[in-house]
Amino acid sequence: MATRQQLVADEYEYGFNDGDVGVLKFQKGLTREVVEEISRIKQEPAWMLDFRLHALDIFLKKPMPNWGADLSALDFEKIVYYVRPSDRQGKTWDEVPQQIKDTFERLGIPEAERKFLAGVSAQYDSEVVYHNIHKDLEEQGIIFTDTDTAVREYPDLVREYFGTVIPSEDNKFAALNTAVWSGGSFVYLPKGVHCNIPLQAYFRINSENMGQFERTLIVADEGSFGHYVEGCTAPSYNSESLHSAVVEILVKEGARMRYTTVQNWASNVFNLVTKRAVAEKNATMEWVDGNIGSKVTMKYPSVYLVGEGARGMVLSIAVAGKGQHQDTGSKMYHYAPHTTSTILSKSISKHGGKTTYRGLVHMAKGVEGAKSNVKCDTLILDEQSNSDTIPYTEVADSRVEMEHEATVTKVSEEQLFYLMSRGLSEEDATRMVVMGFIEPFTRELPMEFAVEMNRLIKFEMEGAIG
Amino acid sequence: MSRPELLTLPDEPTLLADRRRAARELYEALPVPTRPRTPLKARRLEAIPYREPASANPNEVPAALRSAPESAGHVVLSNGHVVSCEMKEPARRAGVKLLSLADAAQQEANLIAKHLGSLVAADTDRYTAANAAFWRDGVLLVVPRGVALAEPVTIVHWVGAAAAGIFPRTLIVADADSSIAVVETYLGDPADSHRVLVSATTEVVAGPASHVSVSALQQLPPGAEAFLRRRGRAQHDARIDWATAEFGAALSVAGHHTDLAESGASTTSHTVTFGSAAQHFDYDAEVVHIGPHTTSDMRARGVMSGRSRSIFTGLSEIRQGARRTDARQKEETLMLSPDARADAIPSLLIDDNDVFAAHAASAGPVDELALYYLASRGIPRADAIDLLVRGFLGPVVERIALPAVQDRIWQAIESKLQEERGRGTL
Repeated sequence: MATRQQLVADEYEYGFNDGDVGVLKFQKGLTREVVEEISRIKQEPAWMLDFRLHALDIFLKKPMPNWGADLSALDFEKIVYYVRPSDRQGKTWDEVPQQIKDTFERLGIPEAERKFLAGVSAQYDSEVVYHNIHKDLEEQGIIFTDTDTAVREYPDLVREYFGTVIPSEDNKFAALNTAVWSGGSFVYLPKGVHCNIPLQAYFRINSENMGQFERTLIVADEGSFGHYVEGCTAPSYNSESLHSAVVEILVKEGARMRYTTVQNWASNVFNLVTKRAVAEKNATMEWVDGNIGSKVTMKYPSVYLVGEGARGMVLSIAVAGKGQHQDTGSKMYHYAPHTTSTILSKSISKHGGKTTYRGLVHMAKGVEGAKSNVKCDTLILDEQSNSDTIPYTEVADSRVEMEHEATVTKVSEEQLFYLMSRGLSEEDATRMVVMGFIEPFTRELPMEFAVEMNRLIKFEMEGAIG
Repeated sequence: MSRPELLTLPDEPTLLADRRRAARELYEALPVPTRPRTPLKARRLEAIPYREPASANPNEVPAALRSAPESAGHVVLSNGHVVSCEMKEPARRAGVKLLSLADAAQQEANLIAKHLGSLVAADTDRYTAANAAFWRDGVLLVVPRGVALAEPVTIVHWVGAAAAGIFPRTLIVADADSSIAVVETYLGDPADSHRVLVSATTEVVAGPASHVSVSALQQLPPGAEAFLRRRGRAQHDARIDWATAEFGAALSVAGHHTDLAESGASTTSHTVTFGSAAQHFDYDAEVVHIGPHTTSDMRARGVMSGRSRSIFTGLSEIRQGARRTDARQKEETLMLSPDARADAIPSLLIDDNDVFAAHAASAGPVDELALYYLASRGIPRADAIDLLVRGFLGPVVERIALPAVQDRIWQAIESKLQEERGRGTL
C-alpha cells in the first residue's frame, strides 16, 4: 500500500519540460511598452490597442481582492507577459515543430484528434500553434479560430462582442487579461446551426514564470447548439506561474451552449479565471467545470439569465491535495421571469488541501416564476484537509423558488465496511466511493475526457489512505 | 460630538470601573460598523442622543408585565434599570441567585469580575463597546451545582417613551449538572415611534453537563434601532438551547453565538422572524465546534412582507480536533411581498474530516396550489394566507421546548398578522 510519503514524492505526471522553445520572449514585468509591443507584434487595429491600454490603467488602479484564496506569493513583476514559440501558425500537423509535437504526443493529443476531434486549437505558450477545423463545420458557417486571427479576419464580429460580457472594470484579473491577452478561441455558431461534435482546445504553459492570458469569446446565435471543450496540463516549475483567462459567452435566443473544462495545472500555477455567459430568451448555458490541478484556483463560472425562460447550469468538481486551494463556485443572476438555474458542486479535499465553495444566487425584483436549485457536497478524506462552503443567496421577489443544500462528510465507514467485506482493500474501497461521488460529473464529460478524468482521479487518490 | 461623561455605578469596584473606561476608549475609537448588507451609516444612528443615560420610569411598564406567576423568578427593567427583581421560594431555597447587576457588582464581585464581558467582547463593534461603557444595570443569574428549576426565570426589558440609549446586560452562570430556562423579552409601546438605540448583551456560561435554555423575543417599538448580542460557552456535555424571535424594531442587528468548547457539548437554535413595512433584520447564528463529539442544529424560518429586508448569516465552524461532530443548519423564508428581500448566507467552515455537516436554505412564495385548495373549501384568500403563514412557522415554533415561549411567539405572530391585515397586505 502506498504511503503518504510516496504520494508527496509523486512526480506530477505531465511535469516534464522540454527546454525553452520560445523564439521571442519578453522581459519580466508589466509596463505600457509591453502592452504596446504585444499589440504591435499582433498587428492589431487601433481600437484593440486602446482597449488594452484602458484595461492596463484599470489593472494598475484596482487593489488585489481582499477575500478568497491567499495570493500573497503572486508577484506581477516576476511574470513574463508574452511568449511566442514559433513565428507562424501551423496549418497542418506536419508543420508543427517536433519538440512541441512530442509534448502533445505525451499528452495524447494527436490520438484524441484522430479519434474525435472536429478541430484542434492547441495553445502552446501564448500563440496558437496548431489549428485545424473540419471542412463540414466550415461549410456550415461555423467559425472556430484563435482570437488573434479573429481580430484580423472577423473584426466586426469581434468588436461587437469583445468585452461586453466581462468589461475590463469587472475585476483586477479580467483587466490584466484584457491588457495582455494572447490566444484563446473565437467561436461563432450561426443561426440555427447545430454543431454536434465538440470543439476542443488544449492549453499548456511551458516557459517558467510565464503568464498565460488566453481570451475566449463564443457567440451562439439564435437557435444554435455547440459544445466547447478545454483542458489544461502544465509542466511543474518551482517559481509561481500565473494563468488568468477571460471567457465570454453569448447565448442568443433559443440557443444552447455547453463549455467543458478540466483544469489540471501544475502545482505552482495561480489559476485566476473569469468566466461568464449571458443567456437570452429561452437560451441554455451549461458550464461543466473540473478543477484538479494548480496551486490556487479562483474561478466562479457565472450565467446572467437576462431573457425570459433562460436556463443556466453549472456542474463542477474540485479536488484539492497537498498545498492546494480550490476556491471555486458559481454565480447565477436571475434578471428575467421564468429563468431557472441549477448548480451541482462536488468537492474533495485530501493531504492537507483546501476546497472552498463560494457561490451566489441572485433573484432580482420582478423575476416571477424564477427557480434555482443549488447542491454542494464535500468529501474530506483526512484530518489535515479542510473545506468551506460559503453560499450567498439574495432573493428580492416573492414569486420565486430558491433552494440550497450542502453537506460535508468523510467517506462513510459503513460503505467502506461493506466494500471491504466483499474483498476490496481499504484503498480500493475508498477510491470506489470517491469515483461514485464524482460520477454525476464524469458522466457529463465527452468520452475521452471522462477516461482522462477517471485516470487523473485515480492517480490523485493513490495513497490517500495509509 | 461632545465627549460623554463616563458614569460609573455608585461604589463601583475598581476593576469594573477600569473595564468601563477601557470600553469607553474603544467606543471612541471604533467607527460606525460597516456591515456589507446593512448600511448603518445611512441610518444616522449617531444622531440619536443615546449617550445621555436614560433613567428608569417604572410607571410606564404595563401592569401585566410586572409579575409573572409561572416564573421561578421575574425581573423587570425600565430603560436598562432593574425596577423589580423577585424570586420565588423554591428557587431561593435551592440557592439560586437572581440579582440586579448593580447589586451583583457589590455582592458577587468575584463572579462578575470573572464572567461579565468574558464572552461578548467589548471590541466586537462600536455598539457593543457602547454597551460595555454605558451599561447601568442588568441581571445576574447563578444556578448552583445540581439544581434544576422547573419554571423559567423571566426578564422583561421595557423601552420607555423618553429613553434614547438603553444598554442592559444579562449574565447567566450555570454550575455543573444544573438546569435552567431564561426568557428575555424586549418590549415597548407599539404606538411609540421615537428613535431609541438599544444595545443589549446576554452571556451564558454553561458548566459541565448543565442545560441552559435562553429564549429572546424582540418586540421593540417601531422607532428602535437594536443591537442584541448573545453568546454562550458550553463546557463538557453541556447543552445550550436558543429560541429567538425577531418581530419588532426598525432595525435589528442580532444574533447568537455558541462555543462548544469541550467534548459532548451541544446546542440547538430556533429562530423565527417576521418582517413587515420597512423593517431591517440582520441576524447572525453561529456555532463553533471546538471539542470532539459536539453537535449543533440550527433552524430558522422567516416571513417577509412589505418592503422588509432580512439577512440571515449562519455559520457552522468545525475546528481541527472536533472529531465526530455533527453540525446542521436549515434556513427557510416565505416571501409575502414582491418588494421584500431576503438574503441567506449559510456557511460551513470545516477543518476536520471525521464530521457530518450540512446546511439547507430555501425561499419561495405562498404556494398557489395550497391557496387554490383552501379557496375551494370556501376559505377567503386572506384567511388562507394567514393559515399558510402559521403552517410555515409552526414547525420551528413547536420545536421550542417551553410551552410559555411558544404561546408568546404565537401571540406575536398573531399581532403581526393583524398588522398585515390592517395594511391590506392579506
